[in-house]
Amino acid sequence: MASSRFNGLYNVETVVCNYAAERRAQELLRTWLSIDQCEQYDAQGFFEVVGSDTGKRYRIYRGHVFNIQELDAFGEEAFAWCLTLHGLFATGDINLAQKIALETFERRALAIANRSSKSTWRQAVRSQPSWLP
Amino acid sequence: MATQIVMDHTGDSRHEFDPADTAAVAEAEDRFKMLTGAGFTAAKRLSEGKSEILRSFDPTVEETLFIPRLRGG
Repeated sequence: MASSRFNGLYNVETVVCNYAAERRAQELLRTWLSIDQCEQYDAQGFFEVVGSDTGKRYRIYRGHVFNIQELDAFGEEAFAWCLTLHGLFATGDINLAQKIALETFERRALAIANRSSKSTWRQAVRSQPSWLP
Repeated sequence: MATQIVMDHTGDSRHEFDPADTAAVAEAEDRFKMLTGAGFTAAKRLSEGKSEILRSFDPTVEETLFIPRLRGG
């Protein structure tokens, strides 16, 4: 009984700490985004960046698993990339690290990232019910 | 005041120092070397959402962000 009560308190504390970390990380992310990126992020849940080496456009969604879309010439997703941080970090920190990596050392960052074999998002949408866009 | 921001499990930790204070600058330089030596990437914030990677310590930079090592997910 005492043990389960302790575990319950521990879990509440963990959730509160995670919430605080995420809030802090989101604030930090926003200070490093351009005004356009910030508006895009608020309205659509992602922001776009331009790769420093290739000039390609990427869409970074709030998230940390295959949340980077590489866009083709038509603005459609060509591939999804997975690039994250070693250890446990808030999503805002991961998304800021992804932004800086793609905007300043794109090739080096993508060399260690994992790429989907084709458009995972488009495939997923095609297999979803019709109420999804 | 200049600020060094280190990403961590709490979101981030911040260390402020006065660029005119020799001892504080030395401490900030030690922190820079320690973190980049441990695999962190240091970046400075420019205007309009731009940033630049720092290869060496620069006490005149107002805000330096330390990003932990990246890995494929």
